[in-house]
Amino acid sequence: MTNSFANDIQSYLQHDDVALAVRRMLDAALDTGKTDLITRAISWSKSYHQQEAETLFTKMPPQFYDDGTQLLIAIQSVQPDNVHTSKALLEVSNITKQYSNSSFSLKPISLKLNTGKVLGVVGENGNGKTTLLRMLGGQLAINGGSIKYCLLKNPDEYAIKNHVAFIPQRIPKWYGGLKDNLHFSASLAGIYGAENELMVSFMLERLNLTAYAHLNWDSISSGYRTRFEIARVLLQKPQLLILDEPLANLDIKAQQTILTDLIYMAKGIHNPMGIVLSSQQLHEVEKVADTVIFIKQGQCMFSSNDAATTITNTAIEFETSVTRDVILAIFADKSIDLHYNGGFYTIVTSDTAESTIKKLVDNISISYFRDITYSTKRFFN
Amino acid sequence: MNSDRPFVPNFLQKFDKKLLITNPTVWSVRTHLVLYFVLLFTIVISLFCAALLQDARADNSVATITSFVIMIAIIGFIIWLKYLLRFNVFKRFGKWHSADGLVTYLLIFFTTLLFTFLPFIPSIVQSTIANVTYTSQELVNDINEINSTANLLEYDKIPKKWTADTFYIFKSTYTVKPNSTDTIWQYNVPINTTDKANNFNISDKDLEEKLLYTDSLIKINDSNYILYKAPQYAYVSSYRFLENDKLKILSNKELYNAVIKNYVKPNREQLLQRMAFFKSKYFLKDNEYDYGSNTDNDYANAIVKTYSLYSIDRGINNVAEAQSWFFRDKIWLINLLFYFTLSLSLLVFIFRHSTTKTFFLSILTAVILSILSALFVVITSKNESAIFITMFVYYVLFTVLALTIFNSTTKSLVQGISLNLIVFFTPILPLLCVGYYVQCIYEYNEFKNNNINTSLYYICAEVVGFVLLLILIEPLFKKLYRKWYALPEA
Repeated sequence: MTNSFANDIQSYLQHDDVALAVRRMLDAALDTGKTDLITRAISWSKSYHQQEAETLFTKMPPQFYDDGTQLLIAIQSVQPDNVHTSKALLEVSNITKQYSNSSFSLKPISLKLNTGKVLGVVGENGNGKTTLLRMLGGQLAINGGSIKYCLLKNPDEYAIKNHVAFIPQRIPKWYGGLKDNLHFSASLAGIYGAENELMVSFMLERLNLTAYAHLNWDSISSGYRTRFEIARVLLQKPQLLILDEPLANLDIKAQQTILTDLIYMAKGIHNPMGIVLSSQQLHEVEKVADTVIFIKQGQCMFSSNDAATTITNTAIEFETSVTRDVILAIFADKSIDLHYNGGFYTIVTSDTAESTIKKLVDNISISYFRDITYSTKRFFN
Repeated sequence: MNSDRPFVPNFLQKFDKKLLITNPTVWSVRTHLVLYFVLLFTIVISLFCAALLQDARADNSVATITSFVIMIAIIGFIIWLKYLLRFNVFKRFGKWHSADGLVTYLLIFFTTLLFTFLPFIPSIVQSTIANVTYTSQELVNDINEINSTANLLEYDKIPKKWTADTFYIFKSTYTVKPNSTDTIWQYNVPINTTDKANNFNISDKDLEEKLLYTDSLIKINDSNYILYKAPQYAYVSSYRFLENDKLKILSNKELYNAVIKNYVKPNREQLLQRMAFFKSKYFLKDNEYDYGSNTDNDYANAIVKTYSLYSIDRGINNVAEAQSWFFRDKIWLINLLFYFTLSLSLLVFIFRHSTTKTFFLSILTAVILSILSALFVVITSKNESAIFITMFVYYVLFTVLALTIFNSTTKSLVQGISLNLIVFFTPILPLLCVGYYVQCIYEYNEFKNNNINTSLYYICAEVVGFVLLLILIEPLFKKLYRKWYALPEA
């Protein structure tokens, strides 16, 4: 955590972004490693959630803000200097996969991932996203190339599975109480006794699950199941977290919350980790991912790392009620590609984004536009 | 922590939670919960049995209660498997400590033992009640006194003359079939056999057996014996004590010598009072035989009917049976318990370390191989040695296949099945070796030294087999399972 982190929290509190402030405060308390501060942060968070449940988003009482400020001062006073420094986590070199009973094959893919970083994998259904993720998670054997888990020395397969947490699209059912499962996961990671209690309380509060902890799997919605699963794997302190379509079961608000939470947790001092996630929510993924790769028919077609050198033209996505002919008439003097997918037009041109948008806005009525030059969205036509 | 588990007291909830957050390996087997519920059930069923089986003279209903307890034990075992064994440190790729594999197996074994031991509780309760209420010496003394008293009271009615049978002996010889252990008996029956009453031809071999049960004999010459048998003077008896050297039930001959041979007129009133005492001690109306209008003139039946000795005999036998059911003849019970527990615990242990598909395919493989091997032995007319050799070859083959896991890069079904099978059959490996060795001794030395006591070999093999399993769990089986389970799919 840096001072800017503390400034962020204070800013959130001043502008009543309390939910965000509470989550960041919990992260900050965890990074101090001090039990009393974590306990205070949990207690502060509980008071917020209790008030939120009782008063339905009315303003919090002044005492709440005072407590928050006091806690933040205490956290700052013990905050360690060592901010998380990124380490090499995963080095994948030309891995391939050929199924014996299918014509599908994954062409050579190489990538690197550091701790604190997020890699987004996007692509249409059935193009190899899950295959790639399962290979990275050690669940599926590779036919060629190599995967190096940089933080492990001569690991066996069991150690790799212990090091990597894989959350599949369809999360297997949990048996037994939800809280028992969380305690068990913490124990598996070697978190025992009072620390186990503390960490489970922390994770429940951090993901806003405390109110549901006494329930069982069948009593909660699929969105909460995803959140509980994330809480469970985070308690096992993996260094590489792989999520296959984690946003599929979440509402808009939860998608944003989970993604930002994952980013903050990945960069935390407590357990810095790398994250690989696949999703159809391109915009959301591109917002949080440090690197995005696009896979089509088993081949890596695009990597945002190489975008600056490989992308030579501009792509703009927009929505309008005018016909294709009208749009083409506007750009009659230029050579453009115009695609329509039923909802949006996508225009690809050698002009800059600014001039292209200006031309559109000046000539026709536009209800929505977005520059997707460096977005994988341009490949979904 | 799920705190709404029914019937679990607060202290156990706390202990359960403490285990969960301090020792997930021990917690996940849930031995503490099973132990608690088994103890609870043991107390309830013991009280129930004590109430129901308090009269040791009655025909016991222990088999019915045992059947009920077996059903409860099976239900409990299923609940343990389904609801309590949900958490698995191994399959969640948790942190394993150096002895976790061994600890896990021992806990599974102990927990399984708790379930397999439950059906013995009714018998233990019944045996305890019978042994506390009556001593064996008391039963034998009472049997002898009842028979003596009945004979003294009915001295005028009982026969005093012994039956005499004359036997003519003929030689028997046997030869061994070439290339076989089968023997052929040959009898040299004399041509001039007699057809007089109570005269019989008998082989020398059969005579040896006959002599064991005769009350007296006269040897006319080497081929002619007269064997005497005393009439029935024992109306109450118990086969439980017949071959007991310390607790001697008087035979017909001994009763004759003790009571009839030197008969002195007794005090009849006193004897009748003793018989009334025994009736009050052992008679149960439910045990009484319905004589109806049977007017059998046989003296023994008449005596039995007069003094209600049928009910007394049945009462005494029920007590003797109850006394000995659990606390004597224990070896076969220990064997039964041990092997049943061992098999179930190994199945649970294997299931916890394997995939569901591999587990059931392993069972299928074992069944198919057993059938094929049996067919092979039958078709090729091989003896028992061939069975042992076949099983040994299977074990070696599966061991080799399982060891290839160390060099595998993908998870293989065949390797998983092989690993499951060697884990299951390791405890009986020494038994196979001993079985083969004993079979060899039997085949090659039968008539030179056929008095070898092989039971000690088998007991040693059983102990060694179990110890071998425990020794191999950590250094071999755990490592193989760890590697195999974590391997990626092809």
